[in-house]
Amino acid sequence: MWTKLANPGFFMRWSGRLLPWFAGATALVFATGLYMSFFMAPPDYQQGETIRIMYIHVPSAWMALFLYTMMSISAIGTLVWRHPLADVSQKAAAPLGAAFTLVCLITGALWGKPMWGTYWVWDARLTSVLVLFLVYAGIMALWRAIDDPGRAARAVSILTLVGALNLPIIRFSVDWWNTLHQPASVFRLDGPTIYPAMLYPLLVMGVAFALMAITMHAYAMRTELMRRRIRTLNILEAERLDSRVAA
Amino acid sequence: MFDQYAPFIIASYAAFVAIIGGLGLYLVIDQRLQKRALAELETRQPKRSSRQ
Repeated sequence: MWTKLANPGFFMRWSGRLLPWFAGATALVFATGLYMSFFMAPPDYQQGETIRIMYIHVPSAWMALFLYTMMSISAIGTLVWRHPLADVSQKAAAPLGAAFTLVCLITGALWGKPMWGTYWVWDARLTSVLVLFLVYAGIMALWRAIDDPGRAARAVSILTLVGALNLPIIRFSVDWWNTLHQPASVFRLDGPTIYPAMLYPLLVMGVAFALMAITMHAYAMRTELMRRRIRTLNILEAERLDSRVAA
Repeated sequence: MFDQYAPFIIASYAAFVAIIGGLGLYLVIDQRLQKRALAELETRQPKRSSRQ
């Protein structure tokens, strides 16, 4: 049943039907989240209005980690089952993950300047997120460096799984080392420590970012499937021309 | 509205729009190009004979 559902034809059919709904839901939840972030959430008692940056900085960080986790699962799918959609999913997720990581780094720097007095400091959280961005960039470069999609997928899968070692480092860097970056305040075993009036807009923005990432990922996967179909047709055409010349 | 921090807040949201919006635009243009190339290739494919 799994292989019947997760095949390129089925994916193209269903994603084509669902994408407009996902895009609409993204716009709606994003507009709600922005309204809550700017007009309902109060300024922070210490950080003042700069807390508004949190509503895009934190969801961007969540998406950077979420997309990398998804790429790691896809990498296992490529290496173990050689599933045709797994490497398409990996390839489509890399630029998205890199973009969200870049947003996280830039908005973090812009939040850091007024609060810490500096745009950048080589502390464990910031450095490990920068490493994540470099891993994303390396993965994208590797996809472009190898022509054959099957070989590229296997090489990228290994690099992706090696890079996954950085995920727990990012998550726990604020606990393992003494960092300038604040410790986790939402996903904690003892519950969130953030004030509810700020937590709810943040969660709504988190849902909006997740919907956006899923929509863009499915859209990019459709494009990648088209690119592969074009490659197959080009090879068939070249073979046909070859056999005509030989005859 | 955002006192002395306005430039940092505006720059953050502008960076978000530029990066994610730019990527979204690239994805749309890329898909259009692939669609066009695919349609062109499929019309060039030889038709299968119904008597085969």
